[in-house]
Amino acid sequence: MLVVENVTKKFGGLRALSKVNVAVKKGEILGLIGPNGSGKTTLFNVISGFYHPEEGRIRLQGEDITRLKPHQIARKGVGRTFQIVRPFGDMTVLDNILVSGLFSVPRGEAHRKIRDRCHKILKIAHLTERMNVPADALSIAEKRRLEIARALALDPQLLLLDETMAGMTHTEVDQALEMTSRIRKEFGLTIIFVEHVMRAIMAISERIVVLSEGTKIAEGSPKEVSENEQVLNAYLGHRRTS
Amino acid sequence: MQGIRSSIGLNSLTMSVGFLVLIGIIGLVSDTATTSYLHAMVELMILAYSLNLFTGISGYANFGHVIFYGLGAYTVSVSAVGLNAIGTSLPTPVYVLGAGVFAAVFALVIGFPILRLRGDYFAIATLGINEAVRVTICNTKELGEGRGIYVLGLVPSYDIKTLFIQLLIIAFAVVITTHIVLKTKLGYGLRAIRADEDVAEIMGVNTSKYKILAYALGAFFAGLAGGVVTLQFACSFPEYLLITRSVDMFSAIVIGGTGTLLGPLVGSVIFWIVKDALLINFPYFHLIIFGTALILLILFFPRGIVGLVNKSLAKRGKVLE
Amino acid sequence: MAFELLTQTIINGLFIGFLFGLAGMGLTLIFGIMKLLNFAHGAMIMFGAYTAFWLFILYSMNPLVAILIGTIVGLVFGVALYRTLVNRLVRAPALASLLALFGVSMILENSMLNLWSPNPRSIPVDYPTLSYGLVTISGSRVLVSIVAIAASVLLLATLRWTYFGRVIRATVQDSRAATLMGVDVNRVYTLGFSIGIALTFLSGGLLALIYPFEPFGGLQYALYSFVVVVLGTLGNPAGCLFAGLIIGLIHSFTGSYWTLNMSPAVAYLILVLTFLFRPGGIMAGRE
Repeated sequence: MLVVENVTKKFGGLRALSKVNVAVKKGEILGLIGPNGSGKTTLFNVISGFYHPEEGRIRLQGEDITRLKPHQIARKGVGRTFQIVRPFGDMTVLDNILVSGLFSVPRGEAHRKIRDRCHKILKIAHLTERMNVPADALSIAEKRRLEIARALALDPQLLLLDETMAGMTHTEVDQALEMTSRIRKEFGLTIIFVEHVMRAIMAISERIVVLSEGTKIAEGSPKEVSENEQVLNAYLGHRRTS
Repeated sequence: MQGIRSSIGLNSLTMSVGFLVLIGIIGLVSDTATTSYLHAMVELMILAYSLNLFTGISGYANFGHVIFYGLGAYTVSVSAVGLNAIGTSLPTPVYVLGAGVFAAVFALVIGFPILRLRGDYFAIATLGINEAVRVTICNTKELGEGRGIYVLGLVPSYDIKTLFIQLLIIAFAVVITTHIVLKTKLGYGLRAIRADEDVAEIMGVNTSKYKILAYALGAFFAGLAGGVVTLQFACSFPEYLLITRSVDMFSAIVIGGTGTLLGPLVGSVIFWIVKDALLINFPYFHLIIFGTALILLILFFPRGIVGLVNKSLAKRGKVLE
Repeated sequence: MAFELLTQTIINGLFIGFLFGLAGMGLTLIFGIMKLLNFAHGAMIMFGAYTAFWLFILYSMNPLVAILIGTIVGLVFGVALYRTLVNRLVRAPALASLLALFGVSMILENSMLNLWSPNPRSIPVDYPTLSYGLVTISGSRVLVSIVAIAASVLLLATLRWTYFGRVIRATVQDSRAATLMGVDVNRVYTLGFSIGIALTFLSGGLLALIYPFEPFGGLQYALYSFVVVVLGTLGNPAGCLFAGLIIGLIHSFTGSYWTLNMSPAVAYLILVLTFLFRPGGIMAGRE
């Protein structure tokens, strides 16, 4: 589905990503972990088109999307959320979702169909009662759900989730995991998941890629990765289970 | 996309159109003085709506919007002079539409480079363009330099009531266009750009394309109004391009509520009435009072009157545009 | 003859360039610190000119002293304006602060109009003029340039070498981190803003020595200031100085070899070219 090939991204003298190679299979849930500053969000920004890498290519379903603009990549079916939520504050919740819905993968849908699709997504995100509320007025948890809902409204094939569970309680994490599973099945998505909540990543990922200081240091099943020496070193002091 | 109803049971479009019809009727049956007054008010409305289409909805401050008005005016006078030289002339609608089209094309051309800029840079660029165009006109012989171009006798002349009707037609057009824009992709895209341009890109909005489109659309309507004013006075002056005229438009949409359907209308009416009253009562201080009011509005009522009404309506779950 | 014209043009260009640089300093400083673009800049330059002018007329002061006091008035005015209005604008969306400052501009211009009439004023001074053949160097312009250079250098030195300057630079780079280190960001903003306004008033006062001014003359100077500031990279005072010289020279050459009236259009052309080819300005990517 997605191939990140030898991608290098520099900011002035700083190498945020160095020859990173990641391949994601269709329908897979891939966990992306690494200490702070390892380049996870940068990788997301490169994939979604915000930054262009100095070296390397990104291929989506075989097509080279490296030099495309963010909106073009979005319309090819790549949705993402942001670490610090960025809803369209003074627009209503419904309008927030409608924007992505209107600008989603072109399928020649009539406005009515788009509206229905957005209402369905509202329901899944448990935001239907808050439909006409300005997005600014939502609680943090609701805003997080809105982030995901917006990304879903793009009708994506690939979803990039960036630390959607930071600061959540135990139960909230479970709920979020359950919702993620459900939407993956329902929408046939491929998901790349960045998360610091280890329990969540280990539970839901089928495969994990570990970044540290801009390079990939490990890759494998959750069990393999959690026993990997290098990974443990990179996370020196970080607890393996939350 | 969803049914939007005000608490009175009419929706915003009906209200706007209805109000215009009302103004139209009053203007047509009254004496010349009242018609002139309303004529000028409707002209401001058109300019406010045209500014609203771009700046109001997308949040990009365009301080040079008045050049489209001025360019529209000059298009008519220049073409009138030119056509007269070869012995022909054109029907009025063609002149006016030509003015609008020229303004829109100009907007497309300068839009490309400057719409890549963000916020403050963009505002500076619009100021720069405004002054540059005005100064260039003032220094070009063929364009009448500082005196302007006189076309008395070269263009059809109309009485104030007919001009009023012409403006009303344009006003209806811009109101309906605003309504359509707000309900479709263009409106949603622009509002997303206003809220967070980077995120809008990520959500699939082709920000460059939509910004240019809105910019040119606003220019078109401002140009139309400019075309009419040349017909009205049979001349075009560089004064039409003074930045101070932008103040009126800005005030109107800020008072009424930027980015809304009713905002420019409500704002223009209130602004016009208040400005006139202030001018009569405080001939020396009216602009100072205005500046103060503008600041207070921005600080305490950033969403204008429509925004204020919406706040109280929101409690009942309804929304006014 | 041609050589004299060239020399004169260059000299004039440099002199006016130093003033342009100073005029832009306040603007770029405020933007660098608070990310706020002062849209009332032009009106404030004029207000600075009037302040110096009235001090000179009413109290028969030495013009330089009047200008200096005018600068201090600017400082006080800046503090007052910040406390009442600008502190709220820092957190407001861009459109709001643009319009609010536009409103301030309206208030200032019309106050000046009402108080002091639309007649152009200037501070008449009788400084010696040097002549070398057809090339003249006017004493007042030399004086203006010296003061402008001195003020600019003072500002740059303060930013680079004093504790206060370091505090400002830290706040510019990362205001949250600065707060954690005990910096009162609000105070930095207040001081930064008022120093910026003071510099603006200073440039207005200096202007009064060499050109006539009137209430609505600010727009032209604002436009030039904007061009200088963008060319010199928004937020970079050193760049502003260089850019001022460049624009000064261009202004002078346009006047000598074309027509002075077209100078704003040429300035705008430079602005557009800057946006197209080096949008960060000449100092982009450097501190």
